[in-house]
Amino acid sequence: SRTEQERLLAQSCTLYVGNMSFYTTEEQLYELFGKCGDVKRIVMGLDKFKRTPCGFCFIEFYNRQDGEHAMAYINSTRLDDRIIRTDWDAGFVEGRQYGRG
Amino acid sequence: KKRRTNETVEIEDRLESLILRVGEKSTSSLESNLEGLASVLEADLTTYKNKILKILVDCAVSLPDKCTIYTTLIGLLNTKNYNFGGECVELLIKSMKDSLKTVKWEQARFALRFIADLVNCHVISAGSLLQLMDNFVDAALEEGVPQVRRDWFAYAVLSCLPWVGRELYEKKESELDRMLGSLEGYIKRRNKTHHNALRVFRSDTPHPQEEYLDCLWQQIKRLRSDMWVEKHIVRPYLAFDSVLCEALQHNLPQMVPQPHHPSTIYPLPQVVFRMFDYTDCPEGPSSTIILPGQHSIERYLIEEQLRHILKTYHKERKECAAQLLSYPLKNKIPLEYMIVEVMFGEIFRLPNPEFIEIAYGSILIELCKLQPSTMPQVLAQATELLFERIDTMSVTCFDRFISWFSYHLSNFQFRWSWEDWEEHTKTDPEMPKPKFIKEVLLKCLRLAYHQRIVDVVPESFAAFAPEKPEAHFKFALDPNEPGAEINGCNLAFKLVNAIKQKISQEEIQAILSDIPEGEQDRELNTLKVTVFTQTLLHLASKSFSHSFAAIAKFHPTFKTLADTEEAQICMLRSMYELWRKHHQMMVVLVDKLLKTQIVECSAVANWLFSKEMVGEFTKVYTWEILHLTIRKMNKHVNKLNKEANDARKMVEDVESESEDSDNDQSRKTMEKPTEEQVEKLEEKLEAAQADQKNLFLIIFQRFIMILSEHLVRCDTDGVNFKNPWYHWTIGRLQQIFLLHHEQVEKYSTTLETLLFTQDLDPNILDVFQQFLALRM
Repeated sequence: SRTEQERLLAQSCTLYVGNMSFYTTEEQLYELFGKCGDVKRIVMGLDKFKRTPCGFCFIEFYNRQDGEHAMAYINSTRLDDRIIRTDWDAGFVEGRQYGRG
Repeated sequence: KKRRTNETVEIEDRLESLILRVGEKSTSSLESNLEGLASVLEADLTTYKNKILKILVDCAVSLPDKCTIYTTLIGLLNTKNYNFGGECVELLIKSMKDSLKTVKWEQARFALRFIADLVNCHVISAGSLLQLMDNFVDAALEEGVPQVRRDWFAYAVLSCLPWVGRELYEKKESELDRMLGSLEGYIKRRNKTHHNALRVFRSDTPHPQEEYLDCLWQQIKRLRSDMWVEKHIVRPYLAFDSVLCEALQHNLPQMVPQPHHPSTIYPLPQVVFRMFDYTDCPEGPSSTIILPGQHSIERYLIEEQLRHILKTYHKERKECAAQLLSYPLKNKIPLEYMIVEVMFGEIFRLPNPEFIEIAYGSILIELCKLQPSTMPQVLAQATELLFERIDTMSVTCFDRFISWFSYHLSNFQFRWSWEDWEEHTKTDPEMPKPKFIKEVLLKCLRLAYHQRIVDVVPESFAAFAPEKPEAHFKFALDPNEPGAEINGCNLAFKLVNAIKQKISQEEIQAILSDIPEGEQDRELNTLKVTVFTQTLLHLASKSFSHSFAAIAKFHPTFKTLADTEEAQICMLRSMYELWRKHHQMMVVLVDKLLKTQIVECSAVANWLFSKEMVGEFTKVYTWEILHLTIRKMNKHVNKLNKEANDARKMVEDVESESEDSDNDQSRKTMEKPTEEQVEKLEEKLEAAQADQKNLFLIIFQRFIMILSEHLVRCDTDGVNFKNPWYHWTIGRLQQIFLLHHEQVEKYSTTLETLLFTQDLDPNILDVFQQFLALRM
């Protein structure tokens, strides 16, 4: 439900990162988001058919506060010469990494 | 309790909003707004007195940039309602006491300044303010308490004087002189061992890097010789002088600062970072735009206001940049220069910046975007100046400079006039300048990719361009390939096949135990660890995720193999041999190996100081690894500490509450730990603290050993010991003390008796003494 979704978002430590270059690697993401805190996990978004990176990922921090830092300082800045967007995510679930890019 | 009616709430909210907003941009003058607001509030004083009092006192301590606006307002109210003025004063004193009790030092300082400014508005008598300040000065003169405590009281008084100095001078000159005399005595006698530890630059040329109290004292002295006249503070009360001077003044209640308690944590001393003077700033359209000198009180006041803006808006970087650039006096000062100096002063603040580093970096990016005609140039000029002076920069600031600059470049297509730095390609790569360039490019590499960085720098930069970060698997799997003669290739070959066939861990471990004939136990173990680590990480080398997954999957085998510290070091060494061209990979792998408890913190420390790592010793990533290792240990201890404390408290709470039985239900349902459980937690904590202490002992002992060896060797060879290696190594030692001072502090006595003894070389001992002086 919607309230449930809002509750999850309000305490989530996971960010959805979009508008990335298809060539951006996990390593670059670790470096940049690591500036905001300890990164627990990064799940790269993959093309449903080709299984290649397609411009988004999920970043999970250990702490909510580190995610807040990323929202404040990384959202709408550049990585690999592209302005990336970050958003709170209710939490990664297996299967969600496959998208259209 | 009576319920507040909707109407009351509405009116109170309206009053709050009116008070909060006064002084914001408006069509009418500040004076008429203040006058209007005072009349509105006067009318509501009978009904809403308490609410109004609370709002005003909150504004006084939390909006220090609007100090004079609110003092004027209280001044006007005091003329209309003397009792209300008295209650305001009482509440302010109470608020300051509370701030002191709860160690909110900045709030307490703002409260004192606000109280001082009320003298200007004829709310408080000059004599009683001096009395209060004298009590503060007495606290500064008190013997037998930490200097950091005394410093705070001296600083709090000095920082009020730009506001109230003139008034005190006119009304109580001799008392003011006497107070300043006492303060001067204290400032001259203070111990300043900490000064060198906190400096961004070791050198005072071109700009002195002054200790903060010394600097403020000089600024106040200058102000005093200018007859306490300053032109910076906006003083709305001057317009109301004729009204205000009619008012009766209040005397402050007697207030003596609470005595020192050993558990109190006082603010650390600081050093004032300076990188510009007026000659660095281009001449403005009129000669009125000039950077105030280092001892001009304006410099202090403007910097404090800019820092306040930063503090208020740091979570909203766009708004922060906008607020900084619309600083009210922007037409009188070279604002971009002052902002940049303040920003770098904050980034370089030792021991630690107030906010995470990327906060400053992202605000600087917004400043460049918002003011593209000037900001990028000023920032480039600043970078050049910092680079020029990098030889005397503290190692910790050197790291932060690299980190900021590479991050900044990554947001601006890595555009930089790299050619200007070409001459440094020919100098000793261990010197700070070439090292800076090399490390910046390595950091840029992490935010981009190899070809991008190679393409960005001129061809002459070949020596600086980072190596391609690829894995180097030392075992040849094909007997015809070079490297096939290395011992262990057979085993590696077997392992690769086994892992690819997804056989069980037991079988893998069986393969590893398949002892080749004639091997000694010890060598055998080394071989097993090396082959397994290299092979597994090689097969998983595609990405971080692959590597992490491999470590997770083969955790049992890793644990079995890494049963001694020697084996753990061997594992780290094997990882290094595979990934030595990929610093970031090594950093995340060590992090993972620590988190999964495959290797221990002490093994990492011993590995970094080992012979095999000598070539890596002055590289930045080596210290990134050591600091993350120490932080991991600190975090672990802190967590256990909290758990043990919470549990202990719960047990004690339960005991004290057992008498009054009908306590709220929620507490009862909470799991109460047994005494036995608490003891177990405390034992765990003690064990962790022992590990932590041991880790610091290992690190400091290693430092002492290599530094002493170096000093002795240089002495025998008759050469100057101050070579680049020494510079980096002593700097890194200092960095451990600074960045982890809160943790190291717990073991200072042990360190003093076991390692930093009086017979140690003074150059090494000095670093320890500077650390001790931080909280002296």
